Amino acid sequence: MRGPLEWFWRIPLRLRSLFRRRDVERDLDDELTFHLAMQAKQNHESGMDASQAWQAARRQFGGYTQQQEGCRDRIFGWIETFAQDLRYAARAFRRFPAFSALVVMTLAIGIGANTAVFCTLDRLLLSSLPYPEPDRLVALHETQTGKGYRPVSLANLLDWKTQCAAFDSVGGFMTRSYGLRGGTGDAGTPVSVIATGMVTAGLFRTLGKEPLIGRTFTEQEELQHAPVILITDLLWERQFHRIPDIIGRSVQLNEEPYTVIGVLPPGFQFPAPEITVDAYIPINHRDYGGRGARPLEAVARLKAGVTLEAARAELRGIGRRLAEAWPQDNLHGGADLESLDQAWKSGIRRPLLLLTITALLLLAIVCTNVINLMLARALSRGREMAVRSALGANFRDLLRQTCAEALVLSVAGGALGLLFALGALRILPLVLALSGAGPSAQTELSVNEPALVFASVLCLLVTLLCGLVPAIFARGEAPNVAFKEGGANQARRGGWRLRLRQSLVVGQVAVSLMLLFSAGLFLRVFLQLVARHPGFESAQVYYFGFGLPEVRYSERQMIEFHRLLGERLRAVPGVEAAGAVWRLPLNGRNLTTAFQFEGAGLPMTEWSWVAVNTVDPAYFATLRIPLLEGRGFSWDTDRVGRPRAVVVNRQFARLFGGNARILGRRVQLRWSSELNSRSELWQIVGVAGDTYQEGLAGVIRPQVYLPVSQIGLDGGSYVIRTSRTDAGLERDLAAAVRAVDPNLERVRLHTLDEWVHDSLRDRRLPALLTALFAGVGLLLTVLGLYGIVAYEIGQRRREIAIRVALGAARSQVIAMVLRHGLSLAGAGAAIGMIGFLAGSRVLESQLYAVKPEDPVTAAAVLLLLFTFAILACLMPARTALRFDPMSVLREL
Amino acid sequence: MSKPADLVQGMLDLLILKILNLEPAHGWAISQRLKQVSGEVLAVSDGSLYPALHKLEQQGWIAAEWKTSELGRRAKYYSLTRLGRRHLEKETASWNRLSSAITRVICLERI
Repeated sequence: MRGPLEWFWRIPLRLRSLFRRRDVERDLDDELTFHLAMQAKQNHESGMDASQAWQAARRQFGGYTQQQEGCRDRIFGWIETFAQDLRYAARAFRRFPAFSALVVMTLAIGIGANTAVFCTLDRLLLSSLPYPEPDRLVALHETQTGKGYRPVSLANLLDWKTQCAAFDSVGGFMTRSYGLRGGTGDAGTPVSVIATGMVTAGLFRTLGKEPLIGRTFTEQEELQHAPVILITDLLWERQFHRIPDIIGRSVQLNEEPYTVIGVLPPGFQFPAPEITVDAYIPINHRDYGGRGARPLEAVARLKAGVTLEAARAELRGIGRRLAEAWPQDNLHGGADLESLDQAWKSGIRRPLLLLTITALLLLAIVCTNVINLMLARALSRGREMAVRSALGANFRDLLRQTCAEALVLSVAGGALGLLFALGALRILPLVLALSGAGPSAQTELSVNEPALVFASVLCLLVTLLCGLVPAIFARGEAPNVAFKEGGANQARRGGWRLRLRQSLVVGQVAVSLMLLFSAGLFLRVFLQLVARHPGFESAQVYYFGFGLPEVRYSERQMIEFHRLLGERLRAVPGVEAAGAVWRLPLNGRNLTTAFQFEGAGLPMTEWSWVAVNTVDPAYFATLRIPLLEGRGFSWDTDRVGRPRAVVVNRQFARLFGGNARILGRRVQLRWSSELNSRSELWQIVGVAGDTYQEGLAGVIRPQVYLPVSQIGLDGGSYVIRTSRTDAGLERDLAAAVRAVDPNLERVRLHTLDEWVHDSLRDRRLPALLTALFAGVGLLLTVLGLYGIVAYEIGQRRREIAIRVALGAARSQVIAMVLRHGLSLAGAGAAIGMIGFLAGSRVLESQLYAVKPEDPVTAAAVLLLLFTFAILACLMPARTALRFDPMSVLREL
Repeated sequence: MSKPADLVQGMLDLLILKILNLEPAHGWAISQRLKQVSGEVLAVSDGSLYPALHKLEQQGWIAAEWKTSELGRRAKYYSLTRLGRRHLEKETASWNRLSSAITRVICLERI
C-alpha cells in the first residue's frame, strides 16, 4: 500500500510537524474550533440562543481533548514525540542543575577515558604497519637450542638471502650514534649527536618505501662501504632547514665525510615507533660482517603466494645447514621467522589489553552510578509517573521518555567526554615521555574517525542501558499507591526495587575493588623496585655523553685523551671525582663478552659469557661502588705496557670463583682491540660490588670491568660527582673538555638521578594509570554507596525516630547506619576478591616478583576500601542522629 | 463479524475520499454531507472524523488548503490528490466486488 510516492508527500508534512509543532497545534485547534462554530451556528439557526448553541455544539462534538489527541496520534509519529520528550528532558535537567552536572561529568569521565584508550589501542595495536602489503613482511631471528630468539649476524643474513627461495628481499639493521656536522663540514659548525641506522641496501626495497627525493644506496655501495647517507625528513627540517639542494651535500659523521644521496618521506618509521633514527648509512661489512657477531635486526619480504609456514620451514632448514657448515660461529644455531606485525606488537599486546580492561571496568562503574542516580530520580518522580500512566501512557511511552532523558545526558556526557579524551591524548605523550614506555613523541595519538564512531556507539549503549533500567523500575507501580505517599515507601513493599539498587552498589564495590587491587599490585612492584639499591649512589652525580672520531684518534690517543680530560675535570672547583665509562648501569642493554680462565684450554665456543664494561679508574669512586676485595684501577699501575688488569663484580666471584680465591687469577677474553689481541691474559686485581646492568627489574650478571687506562674508549659517558648545582658547572666542564679537544660535541649535563628515574619508566606508567583509574572508580563508588545508604536511612527515619524516642543511644544509631553501609561494602568486597582472583592470570605476566595474591597489597587495599566506606556512611549517620523524633513522628 | 460501528470506521476513509472526489470541502461540510447522503444511517461520530481526515492527509491521499470561510474564520479545505483518486478507484472496485458477492450469498434461497 505504501509506495515511494507517498514518502515524497509526507516529507514536508513531517518536517513541519517536527519543527513547527506550535503552528501545527494551532492549526488543529483552529480546525476543530471552526467545526464547533459551524455546529453552533446550525444550532442557533434551529432555535437555540447563542450561549446554549455553543454548549450544545460542544456536547454534540464529543470530547474535544480526545479529538485533539486522536488527531495528534495521526499527525505526530514517534520521531516527533521523541523530539518532544527530548525537549522536555532538557528542560527538566535545567531545573536540576546539580543532578544533571553530576551525571554528565560522571558519563564524561567514563566515555572520555574509554575513547582515549580506544585511540591508543587503535593506533598502536589495531592499525597495520605503515608499509605496502604489510602482511608479506616477516622478522627474521637467529635461534640457539634451548634459548629464544637472538639478533642476526650479517654473514648469516646474506646466506639466508641467497639460499631462501621464499624471500623477495631482505634487510638488516642496527643503530649507532654519530656526531653529525652539517653543512660544508668546516670545523666551526657544532656537532649534533644523531641516531644512525646502519642498514643493508635491501632494506628499503623490503619495506617498499621510496625516498622522497634522491635515491637509496645500491648493494655495490654497501659492499664498498661508500660514504653515502640517507637522511629522514625530520633531520632535513631540523638540521638543514629544508634547503632544496640537499642532494649531493657533504656532511661529516664523526669527522668522516659523507654525501647525502636522498631524503626519506615524512612519516617513514623504522623499525618500531619507539626507536627514532635520524639517518641511514650502509652497514660496514668490515666491522660487523663477522659470522660470530650478532648485531642486526632483520626483516624480509615474502614473495607473492608464499605462506608464512612454508617460508618458516624453508628458513629453519637453511638455519640447520648453516649451523653444520659453521660449527664454531653457529654452534647450536638456527633460524626462525615470525610476522613483522607480531614481532613489533607482541610486547604491547598484554599491557594494552590490561589498559582496555581497566577502562571498561571504569565504564561499568560509571554506568552503574548513572543508573543508580536515574533510579533515585525515578523514585522521587513516582507521582508524576502515576499521573502519566493514569492518562494512558503505557510501557512504551515510559521507555521512550526515559530513553530521551538518557539520550540527552549521554550526548552531553559524550561531548564532554570527547573533550576529555582530546585533552588526555595531548597529555598522554607527556606522561609517556615522563615514563618513557610506549610510542615516541612523533607518534600522534589523536581523536580520529574510528574514535568518534566508538564514542558514539558508547553513548548509544549508555543511553539504552540507562534508559531501560529506570523504565523497568518505574513500571508496574500501582497509581493509587504512588499517589498516596509519592511512592516513598517502596523500601518496604517494592522489595525488588531496593534490592536492584543495592545489588548495583554491591557490583560497583566489587569492580572498584578489582581496580584497586590491580593498582595496588602495580604500585607495589614499582615501590619494591624503587626501594632496591642499584649498587651505586646516584645522588650528586652528573653525566654527559662524548664521542671521539676514529679518524683522529688511535687507541693510544684515546687513552691519553681520557687521562688528560680526567685530570682537567677533577681540577674543576667543586668536583670530587670524575671518570669515563662506556655504558652506565641500568642501561637496558646486555653487552657481553666471553672469557675463560688461564690454562683452561677450552674452545672459544665453550667460554662463559659475562657482562663487560670499560671504566675509568675513578669510576668506582665517583659512583661509590664499593671495592670488596683487592684494589680498583689506577692510571699509574694499569697503563699500556704494564700487565693488563680487570676488575670483576661479586656475582662473577660467586659464580666462577668457587672456593678458591679469585684475586690474582688471570683470564683470556674474547674481546680484542688495536693494542690488545685475543691471546692476551688479564689479571683479576679486584672485586667490586654488584650493580644492576640492564635495569632494576633485571638480574645481576657476572661482570668484567676493563680499564680505560689500557683500552681505548671512543664513546660513552663521563660521570662527575660534585655537590655543585649552579649553572656554571656545565660551563666549567665544557671548558675543560674544550681545552683537551675543541672539536667534540657540546657538553650536555644530566643528573644520574634522572637516569635512574627513567630506567623505571616501564613500571611507573602502569602504576600511574591504574592508580588513576582506580582512584576515580573509588570516588564514584563512594558516591554510589553514600547515595543508597542515605536513601535507606531516609526511608527508615520513622523507625529511627521511634527508637531514639524510646531511648536508643547515639552509638546504636551510628552502628545501624554503619551496618547498612558496611554490609553492602562487604558483599561487594567478597565478590570483587573472587572476581579478581579469577581474572588475575592476565596480570601475572605484567607483575614482577609480586604475585597477584599478595597479602600485603590485599590488606592495604581492603583497609582503604573500608575506610572510604565508613566515610561514605558518616553523612547519613549524622543525618540520622539529627532526626528530631517529634517532627518525624508527626509526619505519620 | 465486527460491530457496525467498526465496519463504518473501516470504510470511513473510503466514504471521505468519495465525498471529496466530488468537490473540496472542510471537515464540517464532510460530516454534513455524510449524514445527508446516507439518510442519517451513517452518522459518523464526530470523534472519529477528524482523526481519519488527518490520517488521510498524512498518507498523502488528500491535501489541505487554508481558506477564509463564510464565518469569517479560516477553515481547512481538503481535496483529493492524484494518489488519492487512484486509491479511491481501487478501493471502490474491491468494495463493489465484495458487496455483490455478499449480496449473492445473502439472497440465496436454496443451496
